[in-house]
Amino acid sequence: MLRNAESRAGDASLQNVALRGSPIEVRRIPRVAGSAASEHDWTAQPRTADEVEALVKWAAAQGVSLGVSSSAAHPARRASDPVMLQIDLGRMRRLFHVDAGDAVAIIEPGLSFAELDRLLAPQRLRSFKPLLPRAGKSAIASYLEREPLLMVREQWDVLDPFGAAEIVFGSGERFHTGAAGNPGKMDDHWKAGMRYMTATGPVGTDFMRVLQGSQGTLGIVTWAAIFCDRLPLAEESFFVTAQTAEPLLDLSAELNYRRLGHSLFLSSRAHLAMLARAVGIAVEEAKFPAWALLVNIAAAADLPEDRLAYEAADTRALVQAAGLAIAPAVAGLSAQAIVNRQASLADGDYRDVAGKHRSVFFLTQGDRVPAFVKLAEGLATKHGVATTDIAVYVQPRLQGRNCHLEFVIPGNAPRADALAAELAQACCDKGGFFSRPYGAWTEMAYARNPKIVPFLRHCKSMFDPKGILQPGRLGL
Amino acid sequence: MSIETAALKALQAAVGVENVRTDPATLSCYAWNSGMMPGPKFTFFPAAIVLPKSTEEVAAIVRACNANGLKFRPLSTGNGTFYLSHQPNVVVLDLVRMDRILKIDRANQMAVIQPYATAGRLMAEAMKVGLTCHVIGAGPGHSPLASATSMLGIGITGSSTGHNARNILALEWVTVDGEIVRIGTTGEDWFSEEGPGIGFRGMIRGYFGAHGALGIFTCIGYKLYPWAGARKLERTGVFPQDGMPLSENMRFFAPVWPSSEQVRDAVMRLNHSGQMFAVLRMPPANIGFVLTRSNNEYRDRRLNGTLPEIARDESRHGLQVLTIGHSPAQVAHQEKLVRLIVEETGGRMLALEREHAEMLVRGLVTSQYVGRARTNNGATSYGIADSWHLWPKAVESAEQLVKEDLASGDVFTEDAESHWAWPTENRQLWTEHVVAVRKSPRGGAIALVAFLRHVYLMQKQRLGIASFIAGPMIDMFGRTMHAGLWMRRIKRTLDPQAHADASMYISPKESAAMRVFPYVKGLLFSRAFKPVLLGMMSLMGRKAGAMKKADKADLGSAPPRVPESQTGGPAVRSPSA
Ligand SMILES: Cc1cc2nc3c(=O)[nH]c(=O)nc-3n(C[C@H](O)[C@H](O)[C@H](O)COP(=O)(O)OP(=O)(O)OC[C@H]3O[C@@H](n4cnc5c(N)ncnc54)[C@H](O)[C@@H]3O)c2cc1C
Ligand SMILES: Cc1cc2nc3c(=O)[nH]c(=O)nc-3n(C[C@H](O)[C@H](O)[C@H](O)COP(=O)(O)OP(=O)(O)OC[C@H]3O[C@@H](n4cnc5c(N)ncnc54)[C@H](O)[C@@H]3O)c2cc1C
Repeated sequence: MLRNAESRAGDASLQNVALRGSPIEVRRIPRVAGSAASEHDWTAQPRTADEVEALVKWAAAQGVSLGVSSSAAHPARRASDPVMLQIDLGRMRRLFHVDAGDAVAIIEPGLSFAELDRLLAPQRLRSFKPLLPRAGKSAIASYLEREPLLMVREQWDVLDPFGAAEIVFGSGERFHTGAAGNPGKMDDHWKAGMRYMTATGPVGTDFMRVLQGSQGTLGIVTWAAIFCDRLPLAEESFFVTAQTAEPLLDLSAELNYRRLGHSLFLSSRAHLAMLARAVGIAVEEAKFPAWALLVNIAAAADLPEDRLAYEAADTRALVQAAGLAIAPAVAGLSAQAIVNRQASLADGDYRDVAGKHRSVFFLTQGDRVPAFVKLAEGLATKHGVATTDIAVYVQPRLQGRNCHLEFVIPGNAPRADALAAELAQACCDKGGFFSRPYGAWTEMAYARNPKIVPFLRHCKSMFDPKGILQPGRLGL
Repeated sequence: MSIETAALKALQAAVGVENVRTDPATLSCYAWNSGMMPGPKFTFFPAAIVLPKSTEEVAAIVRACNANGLKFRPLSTGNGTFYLSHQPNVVVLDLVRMDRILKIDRANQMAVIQPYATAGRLMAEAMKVGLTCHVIGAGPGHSPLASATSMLGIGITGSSTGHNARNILALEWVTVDGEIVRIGTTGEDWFSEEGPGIGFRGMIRGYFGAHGALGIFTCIGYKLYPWAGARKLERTGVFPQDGMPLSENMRFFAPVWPSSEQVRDAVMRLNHSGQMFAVLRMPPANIGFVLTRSNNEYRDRRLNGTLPEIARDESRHGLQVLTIGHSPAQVAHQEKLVRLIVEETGGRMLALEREHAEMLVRGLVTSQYVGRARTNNGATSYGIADSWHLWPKAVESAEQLVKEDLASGDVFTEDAESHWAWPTENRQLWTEHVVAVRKSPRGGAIALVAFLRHVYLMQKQRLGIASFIAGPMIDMFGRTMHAGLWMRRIKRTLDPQAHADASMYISPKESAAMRVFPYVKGLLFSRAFKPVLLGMMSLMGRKAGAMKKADKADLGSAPPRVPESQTGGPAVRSPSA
């Protein structure tokens, strides 16, 4: 009924359906602030998992397409976006349980990073985060998106920091994954000492792994256990700088191998400038080094000072052996200021220049980064964009097994869209792995591995047999 | 041409005549139950054994099986004979010829491996460049690929080497239709198992693997872990009491505490530090088996009170802790840290003779424990994965179970309970309760009853995720989770013709007995009903005994062929099946 992505015709039908027997109130909201009355979306804001389940069942019965969002102030939808009933989980903001001993919390999806950190702080915990998420970003949505986390050594597996969870599949079935699949209820499990630390399963299937990266097309997570980070008792942050990326990538590999450093990532000059703006420091971009590796050493366990001392000493020894420079700040931008900013997030996107940006990101491995950087520089030149304007962000993942490589093209660059599109395709052709394919990237990523696509479709038809969740996304 | 011959020809065409075996001697090797699987020593003989050398050959075998009405089942090393099928007409693919370690990548801490690259070999190669691999408790002979893709995956060094289900990077997969598909990155890249988009790999590998029921994995990217020890493991001691020298940067501790609560508190603090290479709770008797040369020596020294302190009952609330530092400063920190935590939690360090420490450390690093520690007639009881908060309760519950079972005299442990336990990923509890079973015709039945009852009781007490749920047990214990329902849907979707043998995955339909199981389980596993349950299981045992006799009488002769008219295929079965 509401499947035609390009048409607003479904709108009237949705209105009819909405007025008839939706289990919870469905409201009209403007698509973009101040937009014309015709530019609107439909939204429902469930408060409980029961309401989510009822909504999905109702939608499946009525053939109503559903979008899902958990983050506050999520990006405005465009007129061309399909007409869907948006399930906004922003009202589901409870923290059910938290345990400082295991550093585990069970939370609802509407909790943003900022709110979650406030709730975790009394237990001396905080959330694992990607680099400077916007304040309203839902922690669960971010983890579902597989956004790269700063804490490299704590990420053993892609599923981290997820533990067990509850999902309402597109079929309307409610399901408990991992340890939560055991007989009994959450509160009883918790009382017995269970902490939902096993994400995988139950038994022969890894439901949460299937759902991760599915962009809301298979099911809706109504709560999840998440591993948390312990607040440091002692910490120190610094930059290691170089003229080229190679020595810093080598150093990063060695630090990750030795599990030194709590958070670390690599930035190019233009990326440092973005970070400087994010922490409110005005520095002339040219003053920044060409490349800098940010290393944060944070000790949260026993003997924190001792821990800090050995990690810092070992890191310095490696830096010295590599003949690199190390400093707590570059051109007035302190590494610790960036780390601190993670604890007081802003609303906007730190990458925005003149209100917007284009970014191209994918997975690769550290030693392959320089070749991609060269490729990006070549294409930038071709499109008349100064190579120095392209910001490069390298976030090692999975204790150093691979990395998120991101090129950010400033919003005011000429032909930014064309450059982004060509760069994405070129990186994909050279083996960049688009594990989070948004929009047009989907086809490109599938073309690299067409044989997997029918199996992705199988997932869709099993978990969302009526195709009501985010139809059209991921080509499904 | 009979279908049998056609099938044989098709298999031979796929891999060459010399790599297809149907002779009874070879078939019996692959029909033998090590005792890890319930049931008799020999049940269904495979229809044929095929030894492919490449992924293309695996795919060709699968297609040949499908075209000829045969099912198939892979094995990588066959450790534990978990590949045994519960049905006839199954072709076993022994992947022994696919044994290559294709890549060890120090900078990115990973390897690319084939099915018969064993953990021992991978570890030896990885250590040369300062890396090591996760070795599951089965020891160095198993296949990391099989473990990671298809079966459980917990191992003693889990503190620092994780869990094999989470050690997978990209996968190469031969589907049930004989198509070769990559999951994650493609081509020469094996660094990621994600997406694109949907995480499909979650469909084919859950907590427990699919045991070949959803296709065959032929190559994987696999995580390796930092190793700061010697580039080659030197040997100390005299076989079978092998040890390894402790290098300068290693510290080995054997702390004990008065209670399980203190052990819990200490492990949680050790975990927080993220500094442990391995932390292991091994029941004292099992340590005794390692430190003595024979069962007789163990018995004598136990009776005359001369066992080393670490192997005595009073040391049961104890751990083995191994740290390895990359720098003198880290080594110093690690030592200070362990000592502080032990002291502050009310523990003390046991003194160890050097040769004992060397033996225990070798066991920790290589997981070569099974042969040493399991010299009794061991059986497993249940496995738990969740928080260390559960540890004291697990210990207490096991004590009660053991007490109950001791009354029968058939199931026993040398200690008050016999939990092996270690942290996974420096945060999570893994514990497995290992019991011993008297060697007797009823032994198998007793072990099975103990296993089922223990799993039931642990689940009832909410002691975390019950881990050994596979095959028919899924409809019993995975029921509340709807695990079976989804697994059947997945199997039907990915393998609608049921080409791949699913003996250890899920049956096509839930049986009537399983449908009533939820209503009768309380009674079935009650103490009062135990003798009846035992009687039921003993029937299986008697059948096994009868089979053994028949097998003996038949040694040397080919398994009789069942007429095609009865089987609709080239069924080659054991005489007694
Ligand atoms: C061309 C293009 C480029 C894009 N680029 C990016 C990009 O660079 N980065 C990026 O993050 N997104 C990108 N997207 C995706 C999309 O813009 C956002 O996911 C969407 O706008 C939602 O915004 P959000 O982050 O506020 O939503 P969130 O509420 O944070 O949700 C993020 C994603 O998770 C799903 N989700 C949220 N909550 C749940 C839940 N409880 N259970 C199950 N699923 C849930 C949502 O459906 C959505 O797919 C892109 C999309 C397109 C078309
Ligand atoms: C004494 C003992 C102790 C053990 N301890 C542990 C332990 O601590 N932790 C643990 O996790 N496990 C343990 N196990 C079980 C162990 O998991 C398996 O033996 C091992 O993981 C599987 O490796 P393998 O090479 O023996 O596989 P195989 O026996 O060859 O195969 C195991 C299963 O996987 C399937 N399989 C094999 N290869 C493939 C493939 N390439 N593609 C698809 N399916 C395949 C087989 O059909 C079979 O069902 C133990 C077993 C024994 C006997």
